Amino acid sequence: MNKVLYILSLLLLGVSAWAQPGKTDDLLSLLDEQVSTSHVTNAFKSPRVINSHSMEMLSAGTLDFRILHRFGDISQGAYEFFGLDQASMRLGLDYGITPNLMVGIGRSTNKKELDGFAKYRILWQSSGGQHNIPVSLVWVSGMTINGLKDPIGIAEVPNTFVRRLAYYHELIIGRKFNERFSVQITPTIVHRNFVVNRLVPNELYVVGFGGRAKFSKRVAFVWDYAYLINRFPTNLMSNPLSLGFDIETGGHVFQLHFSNSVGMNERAYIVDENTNWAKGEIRFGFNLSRVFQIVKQDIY
Amino acid sequence: MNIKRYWWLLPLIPLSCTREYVEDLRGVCFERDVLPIFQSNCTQSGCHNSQDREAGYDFTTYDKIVSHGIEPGNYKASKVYEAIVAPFGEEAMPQAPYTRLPDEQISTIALWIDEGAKNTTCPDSGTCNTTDVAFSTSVTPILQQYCNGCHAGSSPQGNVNYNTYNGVKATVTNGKLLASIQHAAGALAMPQNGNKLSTCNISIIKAWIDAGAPNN
Repeated sequence: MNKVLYILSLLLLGVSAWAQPGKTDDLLSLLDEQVSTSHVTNAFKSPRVINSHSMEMLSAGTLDFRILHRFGDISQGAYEFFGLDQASMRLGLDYGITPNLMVGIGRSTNKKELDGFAKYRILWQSSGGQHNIPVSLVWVSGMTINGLKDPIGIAEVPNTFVRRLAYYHELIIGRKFNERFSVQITPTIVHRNFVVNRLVPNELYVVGFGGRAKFSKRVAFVWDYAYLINRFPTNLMSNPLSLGFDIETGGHVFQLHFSNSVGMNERAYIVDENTNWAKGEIRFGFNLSRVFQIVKQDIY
Repeated sequence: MNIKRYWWLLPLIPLSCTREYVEDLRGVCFERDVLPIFQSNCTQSGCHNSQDREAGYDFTTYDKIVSHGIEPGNYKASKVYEAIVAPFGEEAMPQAPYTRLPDEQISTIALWIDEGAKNTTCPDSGTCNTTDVAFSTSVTPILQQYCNGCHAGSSPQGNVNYNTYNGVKATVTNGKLLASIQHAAGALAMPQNGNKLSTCNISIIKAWIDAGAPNN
């Protein structure tokens, strides 16, 4: 044992001794580089594009209270106040633990579903200096729990807890090209523990596309689409597509949009049958986000 | 960052992951589950009935349905399945103004083809419950299966609109609903191009009407 430790310390000493001269040589230039390397921020105004997660994170110690609404079909006309009489909502709390890790929970009216997720930034797009990283890489994993009394609705099939669960995992690859333009592509897998028949796949493979075009200091145009690769039954027109505007006012972000999706968590808006954009079956919705700084931010 | 402070995040780690589906214990029953979908959604006048045979398809009986566009055991290769999932274009069925079939009905047809597209009849459950009849749980499912292909959606036929309770109530008040499904003299026999509803289904609707056709 002692011998091993001896050799190990020798090796380490050797390495550090070998590393020393180089370090002192360009200590000054290293300092310069560190100053000029900067992380790219504000690719999106909030940690969501519209429905899907964006490449943005909450800063450490920040609590984001999110109120999401989706209304009924606009085509129902004036009697239903263009769908506004039928509101469905999700209340959510997201919290930034470190600059690169955030978690969140939410509860939706739709299926009385509870959802939770953890989001971790693997790479942070940055420019200048040594660490020039062209894209941000963010990993999101989450689960949803169907809270209906009888989610399956067949007398012979018991409603076990496990059958209420679904999971999703996604890798967000995003880049902010300039002050005005950011895009991201999101390979996603959604797993459902229980599906309605044997032709419906438990794992759904999805590719999400999101982006933002900012046209004034406070307003930006955002879009959010997901292509479902192996949905059964195949339904191209049911893929969730949302178009909208982000409006920033101090600590609030309003996201107003038109969409064909009803759901507000990953399982719901991707998996559930959405209405048909081409036939004008769209609905109005908004996300309201209020950010509170609850833990004083350390200097990183 | 002190990892120990975040023990409460542990529940986010997947608790349990399974791969299950609802097993169809009895198999798809053609007569009860599949035939009404074809009859109600495809056999309108000018479409796939015995007179018009649009594009050579006739969806009024079992023999005629399987003779064309169905590959038993392979729903993906079946023309009929292709048409009902097509997103747009001339091939997409049902054509405008009718809307795409719900996922549930498309699944039923696919499952039936996958099981070999057999002419299965289902054993009568033996009991016909006409005591606890409610609009939402007893009547709506029957209407959805047999009537709503024509009488709901964006362009309901013959001024009969079953999108809402009020539309159903209107045909109860004028007596047309019961007369049509009972094939009474002088009334248009419904479902058109389809078989008469089962005695049990007719008695369920009759029991609901006799109770005052409540919206329950």
